[in-house]
Amino acid sequence: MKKELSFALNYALNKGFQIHPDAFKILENVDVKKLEKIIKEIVREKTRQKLFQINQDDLETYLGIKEDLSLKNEVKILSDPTSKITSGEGVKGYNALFSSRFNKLKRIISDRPESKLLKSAASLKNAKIDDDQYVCGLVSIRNSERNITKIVLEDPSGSFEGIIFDEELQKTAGTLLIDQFVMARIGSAKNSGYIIKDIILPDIPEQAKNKSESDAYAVFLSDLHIGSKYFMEEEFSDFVSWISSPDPVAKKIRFVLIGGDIVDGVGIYPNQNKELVCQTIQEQLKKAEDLIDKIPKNVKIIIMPGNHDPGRRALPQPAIPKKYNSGLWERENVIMVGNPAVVSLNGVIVSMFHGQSIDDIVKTTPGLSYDRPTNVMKHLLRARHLSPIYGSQTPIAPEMEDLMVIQDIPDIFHVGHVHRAQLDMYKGILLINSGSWQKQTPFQASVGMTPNPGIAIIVNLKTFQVFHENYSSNLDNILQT
Amino acid sequence: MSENDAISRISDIKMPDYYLDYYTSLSDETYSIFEHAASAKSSLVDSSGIIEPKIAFDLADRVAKMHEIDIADPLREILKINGKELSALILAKEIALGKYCLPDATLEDKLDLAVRVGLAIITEGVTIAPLQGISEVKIKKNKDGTEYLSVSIAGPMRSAGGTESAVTLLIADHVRKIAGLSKFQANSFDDETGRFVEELRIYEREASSFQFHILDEDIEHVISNLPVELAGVDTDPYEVVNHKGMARIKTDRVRGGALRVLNDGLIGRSKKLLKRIELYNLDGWEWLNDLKGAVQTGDNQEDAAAKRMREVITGRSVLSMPNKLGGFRLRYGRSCNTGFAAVGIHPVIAEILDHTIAVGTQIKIDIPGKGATVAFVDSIDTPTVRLNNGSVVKIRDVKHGLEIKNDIEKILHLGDILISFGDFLENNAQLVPSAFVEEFWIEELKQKIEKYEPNDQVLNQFLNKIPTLDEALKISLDFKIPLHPHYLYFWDKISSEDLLKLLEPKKVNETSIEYSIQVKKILENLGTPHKVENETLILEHQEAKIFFNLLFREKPTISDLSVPKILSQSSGIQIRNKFSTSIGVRIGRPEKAAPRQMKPPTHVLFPISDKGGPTRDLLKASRNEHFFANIINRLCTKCNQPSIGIRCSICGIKTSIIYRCSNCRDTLNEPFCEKCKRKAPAHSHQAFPLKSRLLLAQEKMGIRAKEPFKGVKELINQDKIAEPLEKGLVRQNFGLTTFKDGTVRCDATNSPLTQFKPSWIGTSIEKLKELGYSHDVDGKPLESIDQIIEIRMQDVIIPNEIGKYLVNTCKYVDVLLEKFYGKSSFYNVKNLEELVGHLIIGLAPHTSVGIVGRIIGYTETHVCFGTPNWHSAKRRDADGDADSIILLMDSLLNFSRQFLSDRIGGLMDAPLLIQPHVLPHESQPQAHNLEVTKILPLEFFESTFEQVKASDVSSIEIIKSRLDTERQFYDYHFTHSTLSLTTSKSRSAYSTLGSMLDKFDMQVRNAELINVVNPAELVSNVISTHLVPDLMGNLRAYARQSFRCTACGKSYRRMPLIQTCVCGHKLIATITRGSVEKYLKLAKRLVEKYDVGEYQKGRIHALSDEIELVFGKSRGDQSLLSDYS
Repeated sequence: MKKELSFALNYALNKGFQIHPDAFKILENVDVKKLEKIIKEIVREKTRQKLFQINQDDLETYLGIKEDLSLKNEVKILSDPTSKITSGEGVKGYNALFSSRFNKLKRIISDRPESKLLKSAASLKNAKIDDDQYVCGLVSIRNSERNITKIVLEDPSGSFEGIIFDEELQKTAGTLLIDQFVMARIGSAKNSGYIIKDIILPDIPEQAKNKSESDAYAVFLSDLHIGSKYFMEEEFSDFVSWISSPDPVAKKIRFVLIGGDIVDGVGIYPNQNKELVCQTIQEQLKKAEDLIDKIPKNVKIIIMPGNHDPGRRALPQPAIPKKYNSGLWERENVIMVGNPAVVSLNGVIVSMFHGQSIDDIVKTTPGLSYDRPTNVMKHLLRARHLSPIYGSQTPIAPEMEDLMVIQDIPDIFHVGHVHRAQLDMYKGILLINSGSWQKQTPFQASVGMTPNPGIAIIVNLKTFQVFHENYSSNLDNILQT
Repeated sequence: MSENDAISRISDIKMPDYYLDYYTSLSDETYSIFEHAASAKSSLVDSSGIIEPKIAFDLADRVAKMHEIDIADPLREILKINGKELSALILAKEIALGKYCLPDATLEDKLDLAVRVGLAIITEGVTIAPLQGISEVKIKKNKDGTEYLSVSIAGPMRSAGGTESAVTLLIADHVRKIAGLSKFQANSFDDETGRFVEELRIYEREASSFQFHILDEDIEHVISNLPVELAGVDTDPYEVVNHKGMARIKTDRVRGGALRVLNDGLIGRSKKLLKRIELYNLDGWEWLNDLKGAVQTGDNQEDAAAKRMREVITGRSVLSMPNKLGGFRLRYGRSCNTGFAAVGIHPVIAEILDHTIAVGTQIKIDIPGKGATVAFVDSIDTPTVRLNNGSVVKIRDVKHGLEIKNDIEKILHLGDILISFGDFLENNAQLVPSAFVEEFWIEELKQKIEKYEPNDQVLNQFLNKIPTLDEALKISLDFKIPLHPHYLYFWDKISSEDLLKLLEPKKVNETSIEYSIQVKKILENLGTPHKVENETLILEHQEAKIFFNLLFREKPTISDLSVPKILSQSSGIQIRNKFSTSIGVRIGRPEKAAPRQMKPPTHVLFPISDKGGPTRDLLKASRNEHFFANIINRLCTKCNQPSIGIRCSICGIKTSIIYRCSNCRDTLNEPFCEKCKRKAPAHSHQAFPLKSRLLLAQEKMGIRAKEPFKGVKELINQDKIAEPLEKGLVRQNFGLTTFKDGTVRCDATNSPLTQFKPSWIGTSIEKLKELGYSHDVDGKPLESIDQIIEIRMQDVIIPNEIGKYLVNTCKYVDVLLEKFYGKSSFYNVKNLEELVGHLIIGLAPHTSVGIVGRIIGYTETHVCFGTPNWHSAKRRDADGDADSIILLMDSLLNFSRQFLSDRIGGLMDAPLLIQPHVLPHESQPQAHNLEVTKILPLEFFESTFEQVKASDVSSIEIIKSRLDTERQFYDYHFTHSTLSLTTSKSRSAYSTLGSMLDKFDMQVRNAELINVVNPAELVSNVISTHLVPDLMGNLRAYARQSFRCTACGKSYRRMPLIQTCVCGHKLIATITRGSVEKYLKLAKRLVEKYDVGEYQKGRIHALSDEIELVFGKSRGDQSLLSDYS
């Protein structure tokens, strides 16, 4: 028996208390550091009540670990690309994809009063305009030279080229992502051509938050990289056992969301086999299954793929195919979704996206870095698109519908990929980058990327209060908020 | 420098009379061509009026002419006393102090010139590194206000080589101190060391690889200690992520030039640099001592082999593995066609491997390192093979090999690879113990004879002839000389357990020995030929006799000793090791001999943008009613018409150039607009009467243009100077195309040659005598086409095909001279024979000095044979690179620097200078390492057992030891003879086989045929280096692809929302399902057939699944490739 436990028992016995065997079982699982405090308080309380037996109920009430049947764990999948992929191919597919992007975003922006004044790009061909007009389209070129920024927008009628002189507006224009949708207020320039006077993004309107009626908590994880040498297996196992511990926070957890890169995959980067402990996808997923098995059955687990997981790399991604691990698919409390996905947890809407597009956006946008992924997430929300840039690193498949447009406004936006756990808020939306459970890899070290792994973010879906559990032994490894 | 100077320059040098005549005739000829070309140019009908390549004789001349500074004479004097390295420092100092500079030059100008000239001297004035590898040298301010020197490096610095590029910074530091500037202070604005670490790793991953791998701590150490700033211009479109927008580093992209100086220079060559620093007596560089330097990826043999295997390229066969019985056995020596990074292989190998290799094929070898080219030598050991019926045969010669070729099941031993001592020396390599080879035996015998029986006729005859087995056994017993290698097997590679088994035959007598099938593997390891009949192995004839004498006359006593020692003890006959080591060989680039063409091929440098369609057809463009071209504003004021030539092609008067300010649109006579205070360009988009000019040109030349008459889309040079259309017409007429600098050129792989037989090169004895060849190597008068003759320094033997192309070039030059320039023709060459004796220049791609050479014959190969000195004058060794060959007159008449881009790297590969003479003492040190010995002495063989460094061996004569004597020009001996230079095919299978699949097929077949190569390992490597990257790359590229217009060819990064091209035509995808799945079936079949491991198998299946998830399930079984079996 542990030293602390026998101390607690002796303390109670000396005060003349009996301890019921069921209560003893609970005590055994309590964090040793808290034992002394717990036993002293219960003894004080029971002494006041003059009841000298400590039983299961006393402890459960005190610890708040009584299986609270009022906590719901209702999951609804609002959007999942898995069944919708491979709908298009080649020229036809890409035509449909970008038309869909344009139409969906035009619909979103049409809530604005200015949209009544929208002109098509073709109708503007070199005509002088007296009053300001509006055009909208996908950004196809963004060019800054000397003191002028040039922007080309494209709509189904053709393209429109405008220049920006205003310094402030140039800054805004400088952060536009290629292929994102914007609306511009324009006027004629002195000689010929058009000046852009304002840039209007689809953006997120302010709105009321959905809340869970019951006090259920959700855990946000991603980038476990199981199978990699650098996966923090010990820390992650500790965390998983914490979920089933009597800790008052852990007891309320009803959801675990895994935002991609659950495994390290096979053949993702050159010579990967040298950094793997499990050489096949099957082995890696089996290990994942074994770890997940330790999470209590009343917790719903949602698993989304990332760029390391099997399936396909092009966005949108289908759920990890069943053929690689039917065990996960058949588990009652596990829900496999594609990337991106929108889920409702007791009514709270969570938009999940692994975050591949961050790479391209950080590279081309001034002021953004891997250190602050939530800033990139804000860009995505403003653009109302999860992966606007086409033709760069992130592959985008030619689907007939653009499933990457942010149509539903979430309450929580959950992204991973960059291994930096970070929290932020944007227009009432809780932004979570869920970090990782993989230590710094030689590759990350070589490019100077320092992850903060081993941090689990937990949100109370009723109050939106955020907790976190840090399993890293490195003191510099902290959650950014 | 005049013609007489040329002669007086060489008259001081000790050389045989025939060499003085030779050099005189070369310079006479060069000057006569120069004069002829100059008179043609003076007609001013061309777009330039002078001959642009300048003649430069030596280092001092080249440096002076390249930098247009008058230092040739003083530099020559300094060089005489101090040598190249110190001279660079001395001259840099003088320039920094203002000598040789204009009086109004700023300190920055002086330092800039000092660093450049210093580097030029170090790189012998041959590479363009000093001109374009250094982007700028600037004086900048540290944070504390002190001034420091910054050197900005550009991509072409690469041409300088690792050590030299780093020496640039030593020179810069030297002149910094002289100028009294402070040291550069790193990291005073932002994290510059971190930037270099990040940038270098990104460059390695995304852009290109370096020679060495280095550590992060070394990078940090160097950058924080450098006394001058290592800056650079961006070279590749890859950006850093974490160190953007830095105060002193203007670009966020990777700076390839600077990184290479850091990686391959400062760190990779830190040991060599330390020697230089000592020589220069520089202080403030002691920190270089602390560097870890280049990190070898694996020092032991196994790792090196693994690394080499990983580099396997699809379609390029692995022929041999390092240090494994059965691979190519190392043999020291040189034949007339090897050395200088060319290695000898028996020609029968090419025949039985279906010409996987040919003369000039580049191979990668592990010892003594780097690349080499293949040459064929038939006096070395042949392969031993197993036939389909199980018998093992040692191939006698090429004829025998061809007879049994179709019956070969496995090549058990590949035979010898002949590597010259000079290559070990050049690579500063350690010697590997020699095998007991024939020439080793002869040296041992020679020593015994000299000691005991100097006049023994019987013994003396064996110095030139292989003894019979009986004789060999007798000599061994009588004189205690080891058994002759001809009768030796690989006894050193079997164990005593193996020997025990061999001592129990089924039947034994002196003429026949029978074994059970169980010992087959042992016999195969030994390389002992045998027959198989009814599960019985039979040794007959010589083999039986050798076995009988060694194993069964006296029964050997098995002990702890090695098998050769056990046998020596029992038989009384000394048995030496037949095996030394084997050399890992894999094929690199195929040999090459082809006209150099632009992409797409071009007849004339005239811009027609999109008007000529995809073939850039001038005729099509000329049908445009209003043809506009962006060209120089050269105008005939009389005809009021644009002109290409300096004189108007219509009226013949001199034209002038007009400048137009792009701001106020004023027409100016100066390239500067005073009003707008800006430069005015000399070119504009203007109407050009293409149709009438074409008619005029056709009339003038009497040649009608045929469709397509190919021009260029746009001109790359600053002033947009075009070529006269006439040149294109004549080129098209003779089936020639032009390169971007206006020359007609061919590329051929370099190969060394020191002796030749007239029969090899197809030149008659009479012609050779005319060329000055009168005697053979033994001093006998030239009479027969099979005599061996030593080749002259600058004579070259070129591939037949290139000869034909050059004959056409001669005709082209003659027509130009007569009809375009209005002069007399020069060559009048009608056929290959008449071309012999004419001059060409050889030019290496990263240099700008053309070396004069003389054609003396042709070869049915794809290589250009020349002396090591000649190749080295181009700054090349023969490790598989191809250099250009240009007709001398063509380079003078038609080359113009004006055609070249003024962008960085634009001057590379252009004949800016022409060097008429190649003198051995002036060539690169690597040519001096060539061995010129006739025999390898006993002392040498013995030193190989000590495994000493090649540089510690003094028993072998190399050119270096003859410098400044007459014999530096002649008597280059060789140790191994050969009867022919080539095999029945001049081109390797790699260049004749069409598809990658056929090449891969051959690669697998070779792997299955060659015992020492493991096919499963090879397949696994091909999967990871080629198939997986191809599948993955295309799959990823599919979802990032661009689109192309079917009509105008315009490309779109993304499908536009209007869904068509701006020209209204349809767009098509650039990557389709077909191109993604190209290798899928093959890959799936391979992972089933070969044991490639779970990881590899998993990757292929995952990719296959991914393809289905991108495209949907495949519709039926699409057969995309011819079935592979």
